[in-house]
Amino acid sequence: MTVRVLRYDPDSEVVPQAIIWRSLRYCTLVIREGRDDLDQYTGASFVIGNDIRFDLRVYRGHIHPEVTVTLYLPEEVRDEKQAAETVSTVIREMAIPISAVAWRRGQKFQFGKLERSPEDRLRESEARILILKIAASQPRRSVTINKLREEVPKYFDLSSIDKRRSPSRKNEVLWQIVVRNTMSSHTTGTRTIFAQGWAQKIPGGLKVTKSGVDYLNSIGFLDSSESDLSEEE
Amino acid sequence: MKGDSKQVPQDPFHRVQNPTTQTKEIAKLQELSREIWGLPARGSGQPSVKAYPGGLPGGRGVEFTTDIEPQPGSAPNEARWYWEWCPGVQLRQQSGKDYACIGVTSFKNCQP
Repeated sequence: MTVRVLRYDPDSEVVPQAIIWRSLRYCTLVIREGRDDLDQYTGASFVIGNDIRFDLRVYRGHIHPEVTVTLYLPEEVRDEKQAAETVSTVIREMAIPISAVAWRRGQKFQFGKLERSPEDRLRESEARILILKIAASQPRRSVTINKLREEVPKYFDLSSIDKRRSPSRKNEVLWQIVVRNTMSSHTTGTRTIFAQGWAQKIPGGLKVTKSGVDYLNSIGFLDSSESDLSEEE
Repeated sequence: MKGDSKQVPQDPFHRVQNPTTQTKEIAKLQELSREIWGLPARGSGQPSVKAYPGGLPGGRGVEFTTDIEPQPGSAPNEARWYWEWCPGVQLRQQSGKDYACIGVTSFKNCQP
């Protein structure tokens, strides 16, 4: 399934169904400003197939607005089971790890309180997509390893575990090792971004291929119309 | 709110000043009437009041408490009171429009 970005606001009431411990910029670059009866927000609207519509929003009064985003479904989705399945589909299709879900409907909560899962940290499976997103956000869709190290903390809220010193490499913390491993040439296997054809190595870094841009379009990070790039570009 | 914790509203809620639904004129009306009104969202037939949980963190807006429990559809970062779906929420009509209305037990106007 493909997550497509919509350029217009929803035409019905939307209801918060989950809060994700990821920034809006982590989820998509196609961000617009909006306003409703609660307040002003930044956000984006999406569709999956013909029947799943959803919104990601960060209102001005959001909890941890720099690092969390709320997932909204249309009010017509009232059945709890259907809502839960839809949230799971959205999370999966946007390539967001389940550990990033800080709250979802049906879970107990206290107003104004939100806790991140202690399991949530940067793992290689997520880092692959993250560095692809960061590279695609850079000029010429390419990025060096040094630039990646600068940019990762701007996209991903590093946990205390991510920031721990490596026992084996004293000059690096864990998230830096994860990023380096994801980039390194000895990383083989069919799931790497290089094996998938989503990126190619360049001196000191990587460049996102057209196939990589198409993938990022398919998870809603970029807009489909921007994928019409030649491979040479 | 099946599955959600029961939200007994003892803590304050707040709304932030904006140019359409929380102007200083609206804040004055809220202060005088001791009521918060809310229209249906676009495309919805169900009027609701929406607010952020907690006290006003600074800046301009209003802070209030109410003894009416927020609705299903609320979340940790957003409280909602829908007319018809929530005991205590009343319907108000003005200029041909339907509003959900909740009474407040305390009100602080920080957008004079």
